[in-house]
Amino acid sequence: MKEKTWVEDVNRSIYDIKNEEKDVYRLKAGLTPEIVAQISDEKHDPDWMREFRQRSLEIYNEIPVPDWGPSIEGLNMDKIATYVRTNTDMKANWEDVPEEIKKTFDLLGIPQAERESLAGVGAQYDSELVYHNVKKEVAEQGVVYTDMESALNGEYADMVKSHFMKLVPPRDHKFAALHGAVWSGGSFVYVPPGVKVDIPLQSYFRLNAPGAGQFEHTLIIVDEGADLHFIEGCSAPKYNVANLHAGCVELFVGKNARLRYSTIENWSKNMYNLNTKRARVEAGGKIEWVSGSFGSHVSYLYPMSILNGDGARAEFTGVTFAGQGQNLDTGAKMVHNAPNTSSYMNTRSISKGGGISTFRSSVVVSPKAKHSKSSVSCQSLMLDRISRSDTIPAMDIRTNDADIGHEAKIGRISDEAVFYLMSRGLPEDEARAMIVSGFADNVSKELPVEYAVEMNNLIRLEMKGSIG
Amino acid sequence: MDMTVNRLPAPTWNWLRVNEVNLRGVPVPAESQIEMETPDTISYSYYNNEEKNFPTGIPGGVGADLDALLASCNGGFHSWEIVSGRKESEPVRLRFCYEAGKPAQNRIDIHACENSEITVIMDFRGKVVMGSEEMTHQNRLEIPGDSNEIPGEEADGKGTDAVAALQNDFAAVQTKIRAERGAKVHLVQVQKLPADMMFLNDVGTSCGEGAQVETIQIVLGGGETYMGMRTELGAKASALESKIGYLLDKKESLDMNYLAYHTGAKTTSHMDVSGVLRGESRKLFRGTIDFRNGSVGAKGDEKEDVLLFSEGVVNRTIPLILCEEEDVEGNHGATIGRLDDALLFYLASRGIEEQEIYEMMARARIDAICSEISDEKTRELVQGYLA
Repeated sequence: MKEKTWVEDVNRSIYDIKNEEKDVYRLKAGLTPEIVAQISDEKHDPDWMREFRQRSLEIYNEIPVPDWGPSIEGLNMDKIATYVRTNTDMKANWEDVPEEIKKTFDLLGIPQAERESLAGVGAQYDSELVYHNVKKEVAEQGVVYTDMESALNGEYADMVKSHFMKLVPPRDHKFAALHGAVWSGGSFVYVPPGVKVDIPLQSYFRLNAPGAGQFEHTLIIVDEGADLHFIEGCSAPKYNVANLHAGCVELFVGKNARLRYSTIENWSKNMYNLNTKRARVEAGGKIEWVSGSFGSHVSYLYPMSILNGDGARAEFTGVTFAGQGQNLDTGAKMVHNAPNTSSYMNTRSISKGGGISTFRSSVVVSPKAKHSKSSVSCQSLMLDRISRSDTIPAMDIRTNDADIGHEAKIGRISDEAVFYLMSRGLPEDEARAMIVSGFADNVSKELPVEYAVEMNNLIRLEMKGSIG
Repeated sequence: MDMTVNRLPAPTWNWLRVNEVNLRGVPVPAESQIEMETPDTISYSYYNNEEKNFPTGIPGGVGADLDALLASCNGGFHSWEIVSGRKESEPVRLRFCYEAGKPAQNRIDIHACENSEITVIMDFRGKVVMGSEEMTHQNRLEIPGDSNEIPGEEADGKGTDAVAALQNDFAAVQTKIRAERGAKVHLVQVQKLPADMMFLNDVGTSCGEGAQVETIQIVLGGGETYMGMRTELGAKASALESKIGYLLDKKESLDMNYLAYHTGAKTTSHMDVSGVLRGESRKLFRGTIDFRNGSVGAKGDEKEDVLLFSEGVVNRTIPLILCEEEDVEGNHGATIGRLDDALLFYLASRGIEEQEIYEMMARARIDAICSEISDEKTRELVQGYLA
């Protein structure tokens, strides 16, 4: 059967560009105190960070592998290179970025997006940032957007030290400890009180090296009354060996501040994506997570919102599409730890071609969280009978003064809906693809239009194998 | 002995402490007397271990450790059987009356042959219930993770609650239901146990084609109660309808693990859990609907409604839907919280005291489930307990 034109418009090959590894510095694979010390040397760590990394490594060796999620038996840390960088410094001008890397980011549309719709861009290639820039008018507002290493060793060193891995301590879980030991790259953002950044900042993470890990750290502090939209993108070409992403995102949302954190995750299907994201929201503040998970072989991804101040709010809007060879365990965690807090979770998951999608969530309401409200809605769509879709939500409510609602649905594409669209002249395969796109519109309608288009393209691309 | 019970079929984060419960120092119980009334149309037998095997091949919700505990007791089991085609409206009545200081156990086998219908009503009570002295709850351990700390992901341990069993006041009942093709089994259980008693109540069910199992369980008291039910919906169009109501107070706790395994086509399951928590009571409901390959056209629903009346209560809910079949429909809905302000205002404006409103609404929850019991004597029994 002929494929639809709009499916053919999507070119998966842009994500699969592989640049040959030349002129790169790569630490040997494995995880030892010596390797971690080498990373410290490479990055000119201050003493406290050197100690922090070594202590994290010890914790990593103490904590067992999670026994509740998808299998990560295929991940052998002895074969993962934790640090790979090209022999180039970070640039503030795209023209100065090495030609091959620039070409990759050009194809991914990053410079174009920067010109058209972003206030600043950071681009990480393997373990290090290769480009970082913020628009002059945004910088003039006092907004700081820089790479983590510059922040760690520059004028924001104290701020980094007082926030770094305070929300996600290394003891949190095994891969948080791993991150603490070998982190490299990532972005530091500070938005001063009252400043509203009208257009988004974006960091894009590209892992080119086979058999390597990417461990970027994103630290965002949105001060009182400030407002920011931050977009995170990521991709990698597919290799026959396992790659690992164990990044960490820590978001501090001040009083009456708002932060929207959007992610379109499109790692290659040999990737173990063991990422940790967490936000702490002060009184009257709001965190909005918008998350699309399409890539990876195995994913563990559950952004946590800690509502720590009176009236703090959180929203999580997510879609997960698990296709052949994928086991994507995604969801969110809400912790109500102050009065009058509210949270809302709205997720969709789609499974096809033998893919496994698990929605996992928790809503914890502490005795302090009087007058709190939480609502969770998760819907799952099974596109065939060789796939799997599980929902594992948990609620732990420890005050009588809260209103908690939860609803979950699982099912298939309704024959009636397909029939209706076909009666309007659409072929069956196109009707099904359209229904799936519509199913995921909770996320796409929350994204800037360029990213919504990319997301819909990814869905259509994934649907291509199941129809026609 | 130490036991692990109420294991979640798909574990989640360990720091939530919901994956399973570890019971330490569980005493080996002795078989206790049951007061029973059996209609003439239903045959009753008692088998010791040498005569016949208890159908442990039908797993329950509490888990295999309870099978092992009860098998080690050298007791027999009671069996009720109704022959093919017979439908008996008069129920089998069983009364379990537990004495303090005497760990007790019983195993029950209910066998409904093809196209038959049977009702079994179980009344679990402690002798102390009828006395005037109210016993205190002494040996209860705090649930780990109770502090106000922000939870981490892995914390420590295996995601379990560890609870020390009371050495004396302990009882366990295991019920196996075999519903053959077209049979209907109604199981009603009413529990009103002393505040310092640990009680394990396990049900395992296997359904033939078109068989229907309906259960109503009402918990009105008991120190530590662990309930589990596992239903194998392996044959076409078999169905489970499970209703649970509870009213917990003081330091009582109720830990549940309900599983509906759909492997047959067009099977249905419905779990409806409704209850009230008062005082410092705690409840954990694990409800799993598992659609396995082959369950084409199956439907499963879970509904939970919890009213939280007091400051110190803890409500935990884990409603799972696991699915490896395309053509199924699974739903879960939960509402947890206090009384609706508008309702409270309306009733208060009619001159009803707030305390009275809460009592009325708590009772209404149980009344709603009680009204589903077809047997008038049992409805009166529940009303008596409520009074």
